[in-house]
Amino acid sequence: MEQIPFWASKSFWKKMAIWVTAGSFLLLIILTFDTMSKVTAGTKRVPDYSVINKQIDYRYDESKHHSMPVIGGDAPLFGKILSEQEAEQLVTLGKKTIQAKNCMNCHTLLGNGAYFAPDLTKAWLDPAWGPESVRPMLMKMFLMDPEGNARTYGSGRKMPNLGITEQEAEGIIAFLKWMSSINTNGFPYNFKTAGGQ
Amino acid sequence: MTRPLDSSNLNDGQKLAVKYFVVAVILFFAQLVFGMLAGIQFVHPDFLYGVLDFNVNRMVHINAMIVWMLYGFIGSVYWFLEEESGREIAGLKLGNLGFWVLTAAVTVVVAVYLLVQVGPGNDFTRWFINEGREYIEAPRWADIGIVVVMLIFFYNVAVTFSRGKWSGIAGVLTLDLVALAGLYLAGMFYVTNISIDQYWWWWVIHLWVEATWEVLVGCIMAWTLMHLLGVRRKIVETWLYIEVALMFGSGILGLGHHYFWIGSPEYWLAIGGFFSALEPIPLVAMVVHSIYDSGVHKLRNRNHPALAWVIAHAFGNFLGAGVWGFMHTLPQINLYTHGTQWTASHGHLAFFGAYATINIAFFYLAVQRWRGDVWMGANLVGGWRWKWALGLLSLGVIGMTMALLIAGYEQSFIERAMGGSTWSAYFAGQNHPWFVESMVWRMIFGWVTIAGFGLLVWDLLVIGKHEVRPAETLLEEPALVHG
Amino acid sequence: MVEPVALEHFFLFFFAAALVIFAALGYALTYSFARLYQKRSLLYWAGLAYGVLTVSVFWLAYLANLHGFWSILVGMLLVGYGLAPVLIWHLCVATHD
Ligand code: HEC
Ligand code: HEM
Ligand code: HEM
Ligand SMILES: [Fe+2]
Repeated sequence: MEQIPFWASKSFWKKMAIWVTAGSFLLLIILTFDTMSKVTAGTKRVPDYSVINKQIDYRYDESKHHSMPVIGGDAPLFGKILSEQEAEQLVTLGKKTIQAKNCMNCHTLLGNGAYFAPDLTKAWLDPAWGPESVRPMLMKMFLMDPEGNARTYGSGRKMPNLGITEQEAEGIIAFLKWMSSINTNGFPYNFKTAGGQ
Repeated sequence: MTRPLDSSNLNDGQKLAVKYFVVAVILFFAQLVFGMLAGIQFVHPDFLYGVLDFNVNRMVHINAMIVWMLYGFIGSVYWFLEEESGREIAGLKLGNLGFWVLTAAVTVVVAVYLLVQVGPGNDFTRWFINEGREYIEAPRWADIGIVVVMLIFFYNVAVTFSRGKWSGIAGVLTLDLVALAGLYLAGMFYVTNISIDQYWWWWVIHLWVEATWEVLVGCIMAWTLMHLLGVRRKIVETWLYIEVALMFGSGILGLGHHYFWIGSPEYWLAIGGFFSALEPIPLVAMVVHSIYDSGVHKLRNRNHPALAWVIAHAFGNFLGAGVWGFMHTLPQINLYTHGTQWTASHGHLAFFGAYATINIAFFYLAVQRWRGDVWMGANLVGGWRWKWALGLLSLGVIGMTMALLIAGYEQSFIERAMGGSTWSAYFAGQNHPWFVESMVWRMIFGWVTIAGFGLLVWDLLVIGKHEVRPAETLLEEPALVHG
Repeated sequence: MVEPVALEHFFLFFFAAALVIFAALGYALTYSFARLYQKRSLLYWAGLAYGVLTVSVFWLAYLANLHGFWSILVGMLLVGYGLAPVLIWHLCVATHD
């Protein structure tokens, strides 16, 4: 039997496996550090939680060739300007409620989750909620009694009552508003807001 | 004359493995049942509304899947641990304890999912009811329990190998288990920031199924090929290293295909697109290699059903992960398919094709030994059963996959591209006749899947019972005569 | 950075993408069988399959607007899926000796 060439030997591939894995992983770690610094709340791509005090829209950006969140002037949620800390507390309550009620096994958030109900990435901006003056109130009513306020567009598919309290509903709405301000590279595509074109 | 299932045919590791396999099959059944319940709710939204809502059924469906597959993997490793290391298992009592603790924990978790379902928006809920993050919904206390049991498992594997032979397979397996358990930790903390949440969540999900699980299966396959086909160890181990290089080389940075739209920077569009487009290469490599092997072995083997399921694994992995994955992995199209039934189509075919198949193959290896190395070659008594089980399960899953593909195509077109993913656009997509009919077809093929599962269980219980012939003995592999 | 697939190209895109991987498979299959049975005629089929692969990759590139920076991906697909079966086959032969 002839000698196995080095490029087919076990020891060569053992080293390859180790180096390729280590190299890829190292790159991933470096990219992770960079990404973390760019998605922390309070950066360009992911705004501060206090963005819920502002008007938010999602409009087509000519230079980017996709839609981008646009932050406008003051538009306090539930009629009150919150401090950064208060805003974070409210959004945190919203996020914890969203996990506790297992929303993501019906809905998608940022496109991840389940496909039984609408994507919530830009739900705050959905034209079905009407003008901003009534939006928080309508959303609160819906979240606290989705069955009674069902729309279903002829599908008969209703969201069940999940025992969401008024406080939790406000938290969820704050969370949804904050989430709609995240720069998601143009996802969802072609989403037309009530205010925008 | 019949051959009983006789545990005296098994070594201690194998006796423990059989326990894992039994629970795996039960959870597989639970997966199918809750999948059906969730599927029915697409067709009849009032079905079990307010009693077992869609989110509960879906959670049990996908959790049962992850857990049964992990049980199958753990069982498979315990199965070959003693033979591979040449030693008795290091902590058998501990291993048994781990099994019962894990199984009790799984039972409690599922009972709470079904009976309590959801809680108020506080930390208690996340610790004791449900974490609300897809696939890793298990409450925090259970996460910790799972990690402890994984440590016991890891201890058993590492210590048994280090006392006996430390083979190439042992090395890859041990490191892969460290990675697999380590990744789970990335899913065990709370953050408010959803972009950061999703970033780490994908570490667990993607780096499990597209990296560490593939390599774990590679280890199991390596051992299986030696025992099923008689391939020489040196070759198998070289190929295991080649596979690790290819899988990790494309799969680790392929993670980027989940970072297109979650708030992370734009460079992920390129990294994710490029690396994940190369992820099918290792799968093509396996095809070439298996043709070479078939030339060497002429498909002579001692367990026909197991080999058939191994072949189903090769095809299923290629189709589900390779073809279905590639079709939606470039950001240019993922912008529309992201988070639609398209994803579900891929998820079903990939999980079934890559991981259900290989577990089932191993179940067949196990029952063969359990009945005292019974014949499972040509003209097997009652051999129609495993063939029909394989056929019906594959047909069922492929049928569901095609139905979801049509639904997903329509959804990404009507809802995502034209309608802009609003509330009303979502339902415009859901109410479209293509979608509605696809959901009905999914249920029809769901029943086919269930029928296949029924046959599979029946077969596993009786295969070889009425065989008198012992299994074929294998010769060392000849090298392919080559010019 | 990314110019998404146009609406009217949707269906064709999926078709082209599936064709890329199936052509890669067809090429891998014909190539390895040609080697296994040492049949030259099968090598022509492998060449043909690679031709289909090439065409489908360029078609995909057209449909998914893979120009500029993204044309690197076109090269990577052609080279990667083209070389992999050849290299793997040689590895098979070399490791089994
Ligand atoms: C059992 C599945 C299910 C669960 C769980 C669920 N939803 Fe829904 N949700 C739906 C369905 C179905 C609709 C559409 C209802 C309609 O049209 O009447 C919906 C609609 C909505 C809408 C309006 C759609 C839009 O685009 O603005 C919002 C907001 C919403 N849900 C938020 C939530 C939140 C927050 C949670 C968790 C606390 C949650 N949902 C949990 C099924 C669910
Ligand atoms: C055996 C291997 C694989 C398995 C088990 C698997 C499984 C899955 C599952 C279950 C999802 C959905 C996750 C969710 O619930 O959100 C998913 C998403 C995805 N997979 Fe895979 N996959 C595999 C391999 C691949 C490969 C090789 C590719 C690419 C070539 C790929 C591309 C994708 C993409 C792009 C998504 C995101 C879909 C979206 O945007 O919604 N997968 N995969
Ligand atoms: C009895 C047949 C089955 C039925 C009726 C069924 C039904 C379903 C349903 C309704 C969902 C939720 C999809 C959504 O969110 O819209 C789902 C998700 C899922 N199922 Fe199944 N299922 C079945 C079998 C299987 C099998 C055999 C597997 C794999 C081995 C599997 C793996 C998955 C996965 C991975 C998901 C998550 C997909 C994603 O998030 O993209 N299912 N299934
Ligand atoms: Fe992935």
